[in-house]
Amino acid sequence: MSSIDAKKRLSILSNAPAASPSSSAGDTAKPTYWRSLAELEQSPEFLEFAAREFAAPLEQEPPNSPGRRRFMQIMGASMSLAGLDACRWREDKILPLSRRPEGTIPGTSRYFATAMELNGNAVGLYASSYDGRPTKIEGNPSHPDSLGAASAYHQASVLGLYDPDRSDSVVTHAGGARKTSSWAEFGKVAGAALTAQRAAGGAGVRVLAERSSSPTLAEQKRRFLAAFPAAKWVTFEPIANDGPRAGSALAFGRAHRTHYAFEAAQVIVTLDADVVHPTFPAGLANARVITKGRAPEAGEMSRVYAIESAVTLTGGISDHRLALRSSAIKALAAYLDSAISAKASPLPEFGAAQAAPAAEFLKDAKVAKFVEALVGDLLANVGRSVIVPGQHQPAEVHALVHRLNALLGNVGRTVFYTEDTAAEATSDVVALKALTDELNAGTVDTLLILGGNPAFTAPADIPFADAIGKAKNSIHLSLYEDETSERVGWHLPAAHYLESWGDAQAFDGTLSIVQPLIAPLHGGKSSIELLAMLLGNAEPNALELVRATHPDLSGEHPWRKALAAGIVEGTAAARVTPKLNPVPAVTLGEHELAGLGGQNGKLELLFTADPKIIDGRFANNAWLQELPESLTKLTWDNAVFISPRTAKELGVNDADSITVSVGSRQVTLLALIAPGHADGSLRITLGYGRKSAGHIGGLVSENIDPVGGNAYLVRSSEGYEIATGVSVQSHGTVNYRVSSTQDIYTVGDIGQQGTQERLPELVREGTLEEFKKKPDFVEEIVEHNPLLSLWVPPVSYDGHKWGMSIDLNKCIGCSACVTACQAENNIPVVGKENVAKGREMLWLRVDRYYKGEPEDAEVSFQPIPCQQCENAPCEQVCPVGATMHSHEGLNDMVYNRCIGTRYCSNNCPYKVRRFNYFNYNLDTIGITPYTPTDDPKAKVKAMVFNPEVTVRSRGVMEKCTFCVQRIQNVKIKAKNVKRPIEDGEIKTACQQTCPTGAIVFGDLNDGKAEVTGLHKLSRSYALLGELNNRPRVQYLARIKNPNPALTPAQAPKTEQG
Amino acid sequence: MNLFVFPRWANKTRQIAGVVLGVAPIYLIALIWYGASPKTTDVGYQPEQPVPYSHALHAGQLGIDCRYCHNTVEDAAHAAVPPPQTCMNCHSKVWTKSPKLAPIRESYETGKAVEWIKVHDLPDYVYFNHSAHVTRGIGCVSCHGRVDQMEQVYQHEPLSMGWCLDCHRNPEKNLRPPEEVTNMTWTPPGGQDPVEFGKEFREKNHIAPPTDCSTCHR
Repeated sequence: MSSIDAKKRLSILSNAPAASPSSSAGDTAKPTYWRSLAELEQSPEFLEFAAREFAAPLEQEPPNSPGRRRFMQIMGASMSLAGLDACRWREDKILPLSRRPEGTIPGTSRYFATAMELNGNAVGLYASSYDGRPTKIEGNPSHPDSLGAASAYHQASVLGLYDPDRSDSVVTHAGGARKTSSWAEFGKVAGAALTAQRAAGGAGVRVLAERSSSPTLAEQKRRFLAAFPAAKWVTFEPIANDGPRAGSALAFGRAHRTHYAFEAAQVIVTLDADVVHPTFPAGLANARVITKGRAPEAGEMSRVYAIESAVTLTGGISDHRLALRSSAIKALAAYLDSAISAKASPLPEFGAAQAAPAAEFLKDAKVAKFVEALVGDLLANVGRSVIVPGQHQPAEVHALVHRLNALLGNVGRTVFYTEDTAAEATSDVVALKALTDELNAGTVDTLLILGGNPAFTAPADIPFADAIGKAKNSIHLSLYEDETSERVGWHLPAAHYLESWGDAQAFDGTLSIVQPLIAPLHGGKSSIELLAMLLGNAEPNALELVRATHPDLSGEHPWRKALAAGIVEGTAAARVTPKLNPVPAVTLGEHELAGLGGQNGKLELLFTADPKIIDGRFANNAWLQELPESLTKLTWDNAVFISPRTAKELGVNDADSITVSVGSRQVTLLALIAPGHADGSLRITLGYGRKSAGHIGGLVSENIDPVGGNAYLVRSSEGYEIATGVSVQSHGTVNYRVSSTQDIYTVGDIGQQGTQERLPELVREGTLEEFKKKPDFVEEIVEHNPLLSLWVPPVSYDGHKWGMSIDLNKCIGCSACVTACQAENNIPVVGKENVAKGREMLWLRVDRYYKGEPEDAEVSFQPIPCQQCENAPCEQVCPVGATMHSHEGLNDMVYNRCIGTRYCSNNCPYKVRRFNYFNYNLDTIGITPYTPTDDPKAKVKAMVFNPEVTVRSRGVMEKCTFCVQRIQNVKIKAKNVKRPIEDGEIKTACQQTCPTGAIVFGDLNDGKAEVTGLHKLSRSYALLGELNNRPRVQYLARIKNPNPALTPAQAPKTEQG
Repeated sequence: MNLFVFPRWANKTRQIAGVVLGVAPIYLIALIWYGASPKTTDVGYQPEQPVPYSHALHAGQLGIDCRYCHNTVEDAAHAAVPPPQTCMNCHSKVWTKSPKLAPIRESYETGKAVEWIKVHDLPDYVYFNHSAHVTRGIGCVSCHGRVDQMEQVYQHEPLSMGWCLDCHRNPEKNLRPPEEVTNMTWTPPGGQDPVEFGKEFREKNHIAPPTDCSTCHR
């Protein structure tokens, strides 16, 4: 049956005359929206996959278990313990504090401001302390780089704090064998080594540290180098991004930081830059500001052009995107300079413009048209545009963009500069190479590595990992006993940022004090404490050290104000206006001038930070590993992204195993075809393939396979960010299940037909022109049949009427909301196998739709929580009444009543219900109330649970509750003092962390509530509303602002009749 | 026709089986009698506490208000067990050397917690909020019984969901003015019928206890 239907489908999709006379006009055209290439191509494998209701043979084994036999043994043991010794459940104890601080209320949470630093930039956060332990992170609204938002890795940092794999003891490898030791022992040995070095002025002492903006650490560094004048301090970060520093030096003679005021920009151009991504400096703030300027109701919208190789989140929200190899951006920037300088009459002191490069790709008609329209738009918006270069682009691109922004009058309006006083003199790679050479020469006596994992992250041509052993004494301070810790003489457990006193600066210099939420769980120490210890202070007090660094906060009032606010006002760096030097002519190699596409052997490979685990530091964080990557929805893995055309040329199919060769180095890993990716360009994310991350990320010593492929194996200092001359060899499809959460919900033929008909109704988009002409165009996309109800007239909601509005124009697809929901609601992690079977437990998912041709695909994101339908299909079918409708419109899920028929999930049209197929919390909450855990590591792991939400066991259904615990807590508090609830007082976890404010929750019965206004907007629509389930969640259609010069004549979008 | 002959060892086993079969029903009945008794599961549950604290003495005889120690009851979900610091408010001056108070003094000095056994133990999936009830006018005695007469606290009410819903559907019988919540012997003024009083009070104060599942189950 399926093969005949396959042919019919293929004929429909390939624009052939419609075979079936009953198909409507929509069927014969290529589908506008599609969810994956497999769905679009309807390959026989996909059709077979779709026809089968369940994934490949069901195994009954529980996750992560050594086998069914072992499972039975465990079950058997606990059954015998249960026995008949107590007919009452296990007694609960109440352990009050011995002295309760005034104002502390047990069983409530309080927020404290702190900050998390990554790669030298801190983002201010609020961490909630529940009974003395942090359980949830939120953004700090006062912090310039957060503005109230927190990204997925900020949310997941609380899981990292309670990671049972964290190192809990000082370890020494003296004599080749691993032995646990103590801080006291270490102090003695280190003291002796450093005393010996003092005579030589510390000539043999080297410190290798992560990048940090901490003034206290800088002070400790100054003191250390004062005590050991001949010592050297090297900074190394794998995501070093030397381009901005070197580019600024080229353009201005000194290193500067660039700050953007996107609110003043009408035209935003990104050159391989993902400005809205949390890893971009001030990314969270950028996302908010950029999307704010794209509200169609204001009548005016900014226009975003993205020129990039990989599809980034910025590319997703852009109005126009050009897929271009990263190595070609330099020539493009040079061309832009020549074109704009010709028309913009630059000041003579800016120097000569670049000559228009003779680049092959510029001759392509589509590229030429795009660039022409872009230049036209830039020149029409002088002083109101901004060009942003990618962090990983070379120095020349940055210098050219500084020049372009100056030419276009953007400096001082949309582009601002501050002096980068913390910038190093050379790039990190050069510094690391020098250090490695010294190690190999045997001139290093003591090597102190503060944080980071340089043995894993060093470029492949710098043998740092092997050189560590050449130092007489080597010390590594880190959270885990990782790849670097295994090679040093002394491993010291580090304190997590939630356990430490410290300070850090935002990208613009704003100071934040980092305050601990809990005492170090495993006896760890922070970098500043360790340095103080090595400088002779046996019992360093980090709080004193931090306070000593800030004399203007020495008064109690300023100090407490800084702690409460999370920022110190007035500490942002002063803006400067540097003088632009003439930019010398850029050198353009063969790669940079070649045409679009690329042959095998001449491909480029772009190394990017992984959006979830960054450079590998969060590889052991299960929430981040299971978070579906924004575009491919890939979990527990990384892949090489290839464009559809290049993949075809190379003979690579989707989900093939390929070997990527860069020079003489190779790595074998998964390949995924990424629609919209530039031809001739490959992209790989760093940080996977770790061998000593822990039980989640890979621990070869305990036979736990590394997750993903190690990109560092092919990353050398030449072509550090963008490698060229890359070749690929495909090994065909191997027996490997890709754990992607896309495509899991694909059902057979009828389902797919229905999906095709419905997709344009799910993601409704339009242009600004269409919207202005016809504000309610979203209504016409769906057929509106009379909505009949089987039931007596619907219930009236007189009290609170909870509702939510999700603005698709603001959603950038970052998925921070997904991790926030996981943190707030104790959502378990299921592991790679189960994700592949479609059993992931995330309550909120972000659907990603492609539009258009695979080569040129546009991307749309749609977060789908439980829609809390008033006429919920799930409520009608529960045989035991485990899901009921509340008087405020919430669809309540009662875990204790659920018997696991899963009929509710079957009936849900949105498939937002998740079933606990296993007891994913077996190790922490045990099997029954009679068998708790005594395992100390499990107890630490259990500290991450939010006590306000039930921890679910096996066999119960769960789903988004609109954070009912937050609703209840605020309702009760307000009712206790008899006051009304203000709009914005209740924020769901997803709403609170969203960088752009795309999700808005509130009381629809409150006329002044934000959500009420949003529901009334003309572009607001309910998902599958025509099923008469009356969802409380409504979406605001996406409006783009395309350049008329670039928009082809389009067929009418709306269905007729 | 072959007759079945029991083996010789069957003689012994027949006797043993007789004893077992006679005793087994008695054992099972006793097991279920005591195991399923409310004293073991809910009403009447009276666990031994680490410190023989007598509510009858402190709350009854001395007249200390419930909220002196359980001071978070009007603001929060938990009417928390007080820290030993609260006990030391008086016991740094009174009965300073009593051996019964040794765990309290030890906890106050060392910071080690006193391990009280929870008497009114609701299942983990139930979220009860004291402040919602106390501020609205449910007396402590309605759910906890005459604590001021208890030498050792025991569970007075079943605290089952059905019992909670009884009141939620019909709160009149348990309402009193919020100022009187800690008054163990309160009766409506003028000898009014408590249910009558409750009805008026409910009307006047718009008391509408929710019966949605998410009220308690999240």
